[in-house]
Amino acid sequence: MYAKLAIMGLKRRKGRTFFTALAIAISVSMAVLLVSVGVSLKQGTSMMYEKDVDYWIIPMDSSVTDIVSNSERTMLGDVHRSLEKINANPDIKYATPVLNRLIYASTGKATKSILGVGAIPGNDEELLIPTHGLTPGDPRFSKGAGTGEILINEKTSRLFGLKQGDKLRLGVSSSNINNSFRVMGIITEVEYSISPVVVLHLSELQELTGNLKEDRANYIVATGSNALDYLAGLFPGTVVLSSYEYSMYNVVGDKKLLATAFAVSIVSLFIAVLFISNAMIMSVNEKQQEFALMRAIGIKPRSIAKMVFYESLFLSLFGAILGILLSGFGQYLLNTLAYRYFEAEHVSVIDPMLQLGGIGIMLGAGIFSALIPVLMIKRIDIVGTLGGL
Amino acid sequence: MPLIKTVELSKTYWQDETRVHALDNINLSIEQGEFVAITGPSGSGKSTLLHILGCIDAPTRGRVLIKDVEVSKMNEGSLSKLRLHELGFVFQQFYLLPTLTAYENIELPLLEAGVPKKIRKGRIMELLGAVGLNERAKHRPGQLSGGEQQRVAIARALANNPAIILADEPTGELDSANGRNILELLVRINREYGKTLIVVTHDESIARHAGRVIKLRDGRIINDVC
Repeated sequence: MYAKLAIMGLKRRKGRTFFTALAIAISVSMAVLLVSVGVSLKQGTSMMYEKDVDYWIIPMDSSVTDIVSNSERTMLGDVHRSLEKINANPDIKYATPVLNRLIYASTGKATKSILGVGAIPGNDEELLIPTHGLTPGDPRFSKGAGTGEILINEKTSRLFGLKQGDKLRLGVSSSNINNSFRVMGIITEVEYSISPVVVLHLSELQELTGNLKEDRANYIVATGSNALDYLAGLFPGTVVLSSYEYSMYNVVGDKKLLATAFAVSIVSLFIAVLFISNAMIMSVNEKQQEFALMRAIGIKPRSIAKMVFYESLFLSLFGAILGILLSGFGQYLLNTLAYRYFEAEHVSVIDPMLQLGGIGIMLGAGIFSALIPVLMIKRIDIVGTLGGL
Repeated sequence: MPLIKTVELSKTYWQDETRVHALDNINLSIEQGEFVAITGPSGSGKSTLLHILGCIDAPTRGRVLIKDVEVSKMNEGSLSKLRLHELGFVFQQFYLLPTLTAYENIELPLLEAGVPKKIRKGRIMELLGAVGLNERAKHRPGQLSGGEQQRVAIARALANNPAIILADEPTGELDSANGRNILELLVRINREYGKTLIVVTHDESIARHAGRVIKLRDGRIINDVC
C-alpha cells in the first residue's frame, strides 16, 4: 500500500517526476560514460578479445593491460608446459599464452613501432585471437623451425601499404629489423582496429623479443566452463580470474582509474541528491494535508516516512534506469563518431558492473535524499495543517 | 469508569501576540455508548476540545483519560496506536486520500494495524456494505459524490472497530438530503454498534438526535444537558 501510494504520488506529478528523473539520468549517464572512456583507455590491447575469454591467468602484481611495463618478474614463464597442463582438462576448450610486445616493423622504406601479439593458433572454431591463415600450433617451439607467418590488421596494412603475400621485416629495435615475415592475411575485426597490430606464433615473437629461453608470456587466456578452481590449483602463484572478475580486476587494480571513478561518482551523487531532495521536499510540502490526515487516523510517522522513502527510491531508480539507457545510447554515439572521425574503435567500454554501480549510486542518492523529507513529516502539525478540522 | 474523562482541561495559545484561552477548566465525563453533541458559537473552543479528546492536540494544563489511561503524557508512538485502535475520525471535508480507491482508503488503517489480508478484505466489504457502498469499492474519491465520500470516511473511521467516533461537522459540506443520510448512519453506528459518538456541530438536527448536548462558550461549558 505504501509503495503504491509512493508510485501514485510520482504519477500524480508526471512532469516533475520526468524532469527530475531526466536530471538524474543525465548525471548517471555522464558518470558512466566518463568512466567507460577511462576503462577503454585502461584496457588497451586486451579488449580486442576479452569478450570471448572465460579465464585469465595473470602473473601476480602484473597488469594485463600494460604491455610496456611488464618485466620478467611480472610475466609467466615456461608457458608451453603450463599449456599442456591446462589442456589436460576436458573442460577447457581452448587456451593460449599471449605475449604482447612493442616491436619495430619495416618494409625497407619506413620503420614504425607496432604492437606484436604472440599466440598459439588453434582450430578455426576455437579462436580467441584471429589467427586464420597461420599454421595451427607453435611449430618453432615444437619442431625448431619458424613459419615466418604473420597476420596484420587493416591499420598496419594501410601504414605499410601491405597486402596478403607481401613481406614485412620485424625486430626489437629500429636498427635490428632483419627477420622477414610473410603476410598470410589481413585481420578485419573491428576490435583490432585501434592501433597497428601484427599477430604471429608465440615462440616466433618470443624469439624476436628474447623471451624464448624462459618461454615467457604476459598471460594465458582460455575458454571453457567450470574450470576456475582447476586453473587456480594449477597456478597457485598467479591470479586466476573469470571474465567477470577480470573486468573488476582491471578497474580496481588501477588507482588512477579508481580515483577518477570515485570522483565522478561523488559529483554524480551530489547532483542526484540535489534534484531528488528538491523534488521530495516539494512533494512533502504539497502532501502535508494527506500526511496530517494519515497521522490523525493513527498512521505512525514511521509508516509515512516509509512511503516518502519509497517515493525517493523509486524516483532515483527510474532516473538510474533512464540514465543507463541514455549511457548506452551515448556509448553508441561516442564509438560511432570516434570511429568515423578518428578511426578509433571502442573509445567507450561499458561493463555491466559499471551500469550496476551507476544504479547503486543513484539508489544511495535516493536513500540520502529522503532524510530531510522524513524529518519534515515528523514536524507536521496535525491540527494546524488540517485547519478546518 | 467513564470512557473519557477530562480534569481541569485548559488550552491556551498565542494568536498575533494575543493570548487566547481556547478551553478553560473543562471537567467532563463521557460514558461508553453515549452520543454527545458539542455545540457553541465559532471560537467557543468546541473544535479544540475535539482535537484534544482525539489526541491530535495537547492541553496546556489538565488531564485527559481514555479508558482510565492518561493520554496527555503519552509519546507520539503510543498516541498513534491509541488513535488507530480506539478513535475514529470523521472530518467535515472528508479527507480521503485522492489516489486511493474507496476500498484502499478503508484498508489503510487496517494495514497499519497489521490485520491479515483475508480478514482485511472481509472487514472492508462488511463496512462498505454497512455504509451502502459495495458497488463503489473501486472508485476513487473524485468519482464519488460528497455524501458517498463521507460514507467512505465513516467506514474508514470504523475500520479498526474503535470505541470512540469523533466527528467534526460531518454534514457541514453536504446538502440536506445527504446530510440526513449521514446523520442516520451516525445514529445507527451509535445504536447498533454501541460506539461512543462525539460530534461537533452547528446543525440543530444532529443536536436533537444526540443523547447529550454540551454547549461551550469562550472555552467553558455553559450547558451540559442529557
